[in-house]
Amino acid sequence: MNKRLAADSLAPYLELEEQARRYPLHSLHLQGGSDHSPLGLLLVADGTSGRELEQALAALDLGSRHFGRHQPGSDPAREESEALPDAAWLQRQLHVELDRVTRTRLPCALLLLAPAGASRRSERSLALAALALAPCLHQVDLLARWRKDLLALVLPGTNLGKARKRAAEIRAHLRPSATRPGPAVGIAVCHAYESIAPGQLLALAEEALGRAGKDGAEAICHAAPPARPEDSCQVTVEERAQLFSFLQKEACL
Amino acid sequence: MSKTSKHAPKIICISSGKGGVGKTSFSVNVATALAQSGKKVLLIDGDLGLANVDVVLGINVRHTMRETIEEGRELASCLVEITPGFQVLPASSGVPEMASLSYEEQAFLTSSLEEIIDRFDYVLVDTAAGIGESVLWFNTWSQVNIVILTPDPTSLTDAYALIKVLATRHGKKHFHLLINSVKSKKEGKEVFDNMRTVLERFLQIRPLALGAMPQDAQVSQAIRQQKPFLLAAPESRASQEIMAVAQRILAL
Repeated sequence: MNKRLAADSLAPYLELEEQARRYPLHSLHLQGGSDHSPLGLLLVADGTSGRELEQALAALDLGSRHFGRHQPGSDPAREESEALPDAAWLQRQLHVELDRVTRTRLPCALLLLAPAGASRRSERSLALAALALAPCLHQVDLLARWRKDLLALVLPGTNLGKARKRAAEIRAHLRPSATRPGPAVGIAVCHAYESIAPGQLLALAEEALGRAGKDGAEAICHAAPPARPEDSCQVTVEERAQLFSFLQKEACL
Repeated sequence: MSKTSKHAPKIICISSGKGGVGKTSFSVNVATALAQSGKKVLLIDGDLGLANVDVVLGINVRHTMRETIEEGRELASCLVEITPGFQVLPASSGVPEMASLSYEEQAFLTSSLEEIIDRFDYVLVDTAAGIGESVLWFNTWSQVNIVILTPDPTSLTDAYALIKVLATRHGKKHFHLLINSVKSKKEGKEVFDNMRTVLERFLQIRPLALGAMPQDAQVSQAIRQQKPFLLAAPESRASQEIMAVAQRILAL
């Protein structure tokens, strides 16, 4: 299955999964083949025990196909590492979310996190960071791996102010100890009036992350498209003076 | 549902920055005037947590957008017909949760609104005061942005701040200014000219003049009677100006 076909065939599942978020359900991605191409989506009611789920899966006779969410196992980090969606999945999801920005006129933020301990970054440390991040995640957030050593967090409906707040919470949560820094965070936000492709948004977030890394391991930086510098909206003294100028003329008369 | 695939109404957002400058009274009366011109008009009470379109119109609301968001009630069943062609979508009052909707709630409200607006020619949104998220979102959702201000310094500052935020952070560049509570046409023109100068100089925005509503005792009288002044005092100076404003909106 080529990548284009994989993305197209995933779309109905993503749509269904999106709808399922409104209900107390867990979704499990059924994948197959060497390229982990999508085969289906299982929706499981909250409260279903592991044993019940195993029995149901056995009854479905799905053979060696496996699931995007964790199954009972011994190493949570390894399970999380396997369950953590990859870059291709992230780009497909970003495509869906950026399309939604145009339709709903609500912004979408992308956070790139570089978990602390750069020199020792590995798949396992990334998976552990993802596990540690779990309590900070909201229901609509999308977490994935980006490149080999970064976590990407898509925050639908989130503007820059909220994204900075979430980044600060996450950074504090992932701080290994009081004396060691939390991860650097790069933020990029897509607004309804901007046409940004997923790759562009990722590039902006990487640029911000690069600056955050230089500023200090704990920094949070934001990058915006060049056409729209992030101006302050504070009404300046000059603007105010001009606004009131006709009132002063009136008073003189 | 795509707005382009069906009859697309003109969506007009009415905001002010400062509260108490006459947004709701203007919205109700301009909606009445547009309906009198034979247009199908929907007025959305965009002050989701402190609604008062229903108060200005003296109607008892049974269902609001809150029930749509919290209970999944059909948005169409919340509509209230005021006069032929003029319907109101009421919001709730005294519900802080409605003033800060989550992403899912906002997205759900958007899709619900887009299901009902196709049946109207004009959709007016009377937003809350301030520059809160719902105000900014309704403004970005709309095609026409009307900003109401009075000659008071606080109103001037807040209207300018609202325009600055919408222009800088949300890419809005076209604004229509409505100057309310002016003592004379001359005062209205001075306020508009001054605001235009500041907007052009600092934000490179050239606003359009929608009108200047005169101070009129019959307006406050109509508000106390909970009736649109266009119906309570059709011969008043305010009513004449609102008809002129409606004509300008029809020409947009």
